[in-house]
Amino acid sequence: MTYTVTALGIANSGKSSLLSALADTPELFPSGDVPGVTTSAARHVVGPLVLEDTPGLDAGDAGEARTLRAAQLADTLLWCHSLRMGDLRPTEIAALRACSRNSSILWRTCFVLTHRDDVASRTHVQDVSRRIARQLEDIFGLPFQGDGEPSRPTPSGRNPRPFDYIGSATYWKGAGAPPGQRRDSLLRRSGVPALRNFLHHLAHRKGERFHGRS
Amino acid sequence: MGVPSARAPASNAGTSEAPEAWLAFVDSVRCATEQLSSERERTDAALKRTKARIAGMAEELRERCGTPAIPVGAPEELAGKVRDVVRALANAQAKILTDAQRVVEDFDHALENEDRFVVLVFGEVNAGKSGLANHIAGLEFGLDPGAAGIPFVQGREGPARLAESPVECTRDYQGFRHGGLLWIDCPGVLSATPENAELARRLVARADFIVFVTSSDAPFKRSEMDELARLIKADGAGRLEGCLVITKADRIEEDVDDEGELIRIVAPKAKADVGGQLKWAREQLDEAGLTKLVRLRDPHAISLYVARDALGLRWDSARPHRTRSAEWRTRYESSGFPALLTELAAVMRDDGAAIKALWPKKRLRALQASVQVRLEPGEKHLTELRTMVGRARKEIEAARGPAAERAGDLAASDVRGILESHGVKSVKRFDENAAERTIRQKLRSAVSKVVKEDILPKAKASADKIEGVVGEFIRSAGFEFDLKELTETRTYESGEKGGAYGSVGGGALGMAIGSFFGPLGTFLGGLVGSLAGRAIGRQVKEKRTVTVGKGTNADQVVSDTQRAVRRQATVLIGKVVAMLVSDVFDPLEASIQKLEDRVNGWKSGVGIGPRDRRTSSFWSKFLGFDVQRAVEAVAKARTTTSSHKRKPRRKPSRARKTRR
Repeated sequence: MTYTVTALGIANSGKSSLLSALADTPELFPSGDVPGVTTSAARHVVGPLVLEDTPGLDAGDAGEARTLRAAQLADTLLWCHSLRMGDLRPTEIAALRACSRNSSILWRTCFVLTHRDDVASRTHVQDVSRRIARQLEDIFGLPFQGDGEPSRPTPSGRNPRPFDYIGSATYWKGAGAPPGQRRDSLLRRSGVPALRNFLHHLAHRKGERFHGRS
Repeated sequence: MGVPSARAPASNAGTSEAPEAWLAFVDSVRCATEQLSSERERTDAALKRTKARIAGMAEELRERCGTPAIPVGAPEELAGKVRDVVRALANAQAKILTDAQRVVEDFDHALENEDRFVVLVFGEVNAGKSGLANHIAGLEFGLDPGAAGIPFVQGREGPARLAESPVECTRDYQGFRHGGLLWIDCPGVLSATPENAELARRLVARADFIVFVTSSDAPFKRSEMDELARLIKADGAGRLEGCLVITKADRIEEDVDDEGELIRIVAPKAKADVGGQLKWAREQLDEAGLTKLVRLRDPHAISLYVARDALGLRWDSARPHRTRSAEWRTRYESSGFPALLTELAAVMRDDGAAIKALWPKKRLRALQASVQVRLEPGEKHLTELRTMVGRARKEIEAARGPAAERAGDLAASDVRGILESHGVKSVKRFDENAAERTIRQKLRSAVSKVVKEDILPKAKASADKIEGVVGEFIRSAGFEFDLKELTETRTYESGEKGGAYGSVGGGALGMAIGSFFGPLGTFLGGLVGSLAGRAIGRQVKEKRTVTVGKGTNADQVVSDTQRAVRRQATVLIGKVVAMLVSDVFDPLEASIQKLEDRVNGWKSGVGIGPRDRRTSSFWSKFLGFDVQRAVEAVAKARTTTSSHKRKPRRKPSRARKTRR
């Protein structure tokens, strides 16, 4: 039994960096500044998870088709968007709309806002995340929370998971630091351990369902 | 348009001293402004001249305007093509007039703004254009008001600074004015409203320098660059100057200090990373075709955050934050701004005037290019139409020979039957008038049939239009053979006197002669004899009887009649074809020529291609004779020879030319 976690997003949205950080192995998934470093899907097994990287949504014509296919096959989708880029771009919005037609996809998706450490200020994070929340609400018809916003009730009682804010560079700084308050702070701020734990938890739950409770 | 001094007191090394690079830049702006102002008169004159020339051309166009007429009687299958030509040319005409009008307006606008150097900035939202503009305007150095540039939004002088926000979608035109420098941010070209699209077009037509901006985080979309290339190609005044700028070329790092406080550091991105991005961006511009349209200088990677950090300002709001460190100049250097400012300064100082001086010529050349493009569809259709008409004409003329043969065969096939039924074999009962009438009818119907089946379809004409005319023609056509002539009765002058008197005697004589030659001979002999008898008192011209050798028997008469019928059919068909050609194709070709002349007139009006008059007069002077006439003479001689070759195989002695 495997638990597949696939990262999706447009070019330079931090997918490869995120997966490398989740795997706690630098450059396991190669990344770089120039668009098009990741040219094909790469998979690595890390503990209970199978981590899968994809090329950017806007890299090549088959981007959207590949997204939908991956979305159908993965156990969890990590939809990545860089906070440095501002709000969601038309390519992303179109792909998300395509996913929204299949209701199960949303409940398997974590929206990950990357480069949280690479922005000018908290205000920036708030402005952008709130704008993105509005854009997602427009697509999926459900309430999303930006940074600092309260959660709002839905008729079905089920809310989408709040955004994960990730800073891969901070993670490596923390991972390389000697044990202490600084290291804990950095790791916590990076958001990577929290996400990793959540994914392990999901994998464990699937394992139980699969094999029956022991 | 002077620029007040921007230097703060030298002793204050605090927050309000502008970097040297920026001060040098402002100096260049001042120099360029002065230069532009002083050259104003001369450039105004050049502008006015070119504008007058273009306005004149537009006037001429407007006079010769009007929808070209579709020639009447155009064959059905060609009519569609003719309509295409007319429509394409009418469209082109309308567009050329609009283009010319726009160019005249551009020149008016240029006359008003000739002393400004226009920098146009293109880039997507969130590319960092507003921040770039604010910084280059000098709004962050805490200078006295008036020392920095004056921002504007959508034409009105506006806010103290341009809005910078990570989620703001700048749809308006904005920028700043600083002395003779006009810096304009363009919102995305793909998402432009109609008014903005028109403004974009105008600005591209007026720009002196173009800056392509893309952020280091989000590489620009190819679709945006393609659209931009299209815009510049359509309206750019020739080859523009420009440069590529990559913004946000920085990394921010978080860290936690020993007290658990969060600290943030900004540093420029590594050269290797930035170099890769610059290369990638350059390739994208190449692929979109922009490097052919814009001459790109060295690209720059800048970081507004690093610059502001060095100046002791908050990165996103640019508000004063802390005092500058002692090495603030070095840090500011690493932001990439000094290099960019130096480049811009060099452009304005060294090339500014030259770039502006070239503008009228460039604009005219852009107009020529656009006229060429507008006329292309019409010209293409015209060429196709000419080919189609030429081909149709050739087909008809090729059909002439076979059709004539077929008509001849059809008509001739019944000649024997007709003649025999009218008694050609029997001497006394041969009713040549009736026979001739029947044969004529037969010939007419044969020619009509062949024309309808073989010739008219080739004319691609509607049967109703042409058939009536052709039918009328065949009905009323004269026939050039005369059975009586074949029987040679007219060679005798018939004298009335004593005609009957000697007819019996003559008849007997004739019969005697005639019986020697066979049945018809008998008849003729009899006739000869009786005429001879009638002409008692006149001399019988014996030698005429020798010509009786022609048609001495029924078979000979038949074959001679058949030959004459065939000849006549050829003549008729030839005349029908000539008539079709002259009624249908000649006017069509004349109209095509008129349309081609009109197109050439437009082109030469804008200065494209040689003027026809000039060409022919040049050759005349050079060669010493009228080329046009010589060409026509050769063409005429060639058609005569070929028509001679193409006549039917027998050479009728009275063959008439059936061609024009």
